[in-house]
Amino acid sequence: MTTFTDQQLIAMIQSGDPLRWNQALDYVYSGNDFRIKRQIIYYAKKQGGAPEDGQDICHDAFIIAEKNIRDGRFRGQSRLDSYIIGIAKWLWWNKQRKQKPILGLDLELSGIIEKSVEEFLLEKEQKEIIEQAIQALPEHCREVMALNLKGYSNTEISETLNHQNKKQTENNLTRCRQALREILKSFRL
Amino acid sequence: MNQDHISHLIQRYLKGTLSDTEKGDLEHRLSQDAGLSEEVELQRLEKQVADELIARNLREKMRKFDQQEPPVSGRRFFKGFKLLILTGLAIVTIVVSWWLAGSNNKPSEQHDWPQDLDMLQQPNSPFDPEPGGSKPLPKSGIDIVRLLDTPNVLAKEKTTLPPSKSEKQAIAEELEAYRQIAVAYFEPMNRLAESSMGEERIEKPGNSVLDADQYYQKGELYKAIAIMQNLADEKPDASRLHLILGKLYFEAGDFAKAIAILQPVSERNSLYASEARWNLLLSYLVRYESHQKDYKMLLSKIIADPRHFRHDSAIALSEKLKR
Repeated sequence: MTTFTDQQLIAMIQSGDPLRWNQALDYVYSGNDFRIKRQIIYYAKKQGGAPEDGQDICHDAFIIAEKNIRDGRFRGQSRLDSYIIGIAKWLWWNKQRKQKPILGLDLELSGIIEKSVEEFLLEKEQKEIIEQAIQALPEHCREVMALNLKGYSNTEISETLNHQNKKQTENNLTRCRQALREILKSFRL
Repeated sequence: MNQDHISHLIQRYLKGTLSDTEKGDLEHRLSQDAGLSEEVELQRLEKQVADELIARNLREKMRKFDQQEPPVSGRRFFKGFKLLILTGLAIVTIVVSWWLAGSNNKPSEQHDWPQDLDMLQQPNSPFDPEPGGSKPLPKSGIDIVRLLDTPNVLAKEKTTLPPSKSEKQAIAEELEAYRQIAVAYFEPMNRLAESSMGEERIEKPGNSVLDADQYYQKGELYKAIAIMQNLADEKPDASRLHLILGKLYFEAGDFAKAIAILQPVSERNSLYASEARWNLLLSYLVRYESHQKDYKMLLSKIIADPRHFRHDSAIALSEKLKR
């Protein structure tokens, strides 16, 4: 079995090469007998949660970690598995905090609560906009944008989607980006 | 500040990778320029849409991995079973090596070979790979690996004496060992088609990558290969298609075809050249008898390139074969 260091895995995720991205994901997620996932589920069960909750938290943690690595916010400051597990624990406690009501009228806390509610509503509204924008985007646009975001070149996208040539893919991408922009503008009006 | 620079700055702002000074400057501009502020908001939403598309794809892949995860009791059983198989293989290897070492010391009745060890260790002995040298005779099957790597055994034109039956058997067993190592290092694909969002537009029904993938998922390797071969013939410059086809041939055990397909891809300036080189190396290892030089040349190239993402695997492979 091939082994990769954390630095190699980060480079593979940031490389833009879909094969390497898949390989890195496979290695981190299912490597060592799904060790990270098992640790997260064990943590959730210890905190009184169900294994399914642990699995959901695990998926969310991987998604956040992958995004941070891709955006360059995580560069290997800590071990990758510790980083992902740390995110999962934070997500768990964040979820518990939102689910359990806060009792008492502490003046300091009220300010924090109001800000949290406002942020929560704003975040919720944005999520709805994103969801509606994705639904409104034509199917072929979702396909071509997904491949473009994963690092496929236009030539490779045209091969995968059976476009006539690279130019057709480029035109599709430009039109789809414009379509997405128009959709987002319309939601903001 | 030109438009490209502003766009790049906004992207870095949205990713949170601006320095404090740069962030302060940009936020000051945003507070004074409504158009710029609108642009940042739109790009923020576009990035969130992009992140959401990637997140959905990632979630789907993780669900598929979860389906392949063995149950806890099955996992423990599988580990124990693996240990049992490895122990059995180790015992068999030791027994075979001991038997071969024993049979190699017996003089053959068919050839005029030296009858005792002293003669075998004389200078210019046919068993001595270096003229005038005096290397010890192989004491075990493992030493045979080192002997096999010398030109006098596998390079038939230089061997003055034909290999004995036991040597032929040893060579065959070592080549089989190389084949097993290459197969162990090979990583099969999860899916042939990466597009998992929506339907692929099929111009020729029954002849697309998705169709090949469906056969592949069912284990119908040769049907998948037939479709991919057609696609590769239609698109001779499509590196990704050829890489997938090469790996399919490897999985099917047709290593000669795998080499023929992967060689051109490995020499192109393409995103897939690195992966093609690695799989080509493994194919050469399986066909070591006829591709020894190619294997060594490619291995040294990969080891000499620390940026190659299989660099560590290549070193590990090289170390494993030296042992």
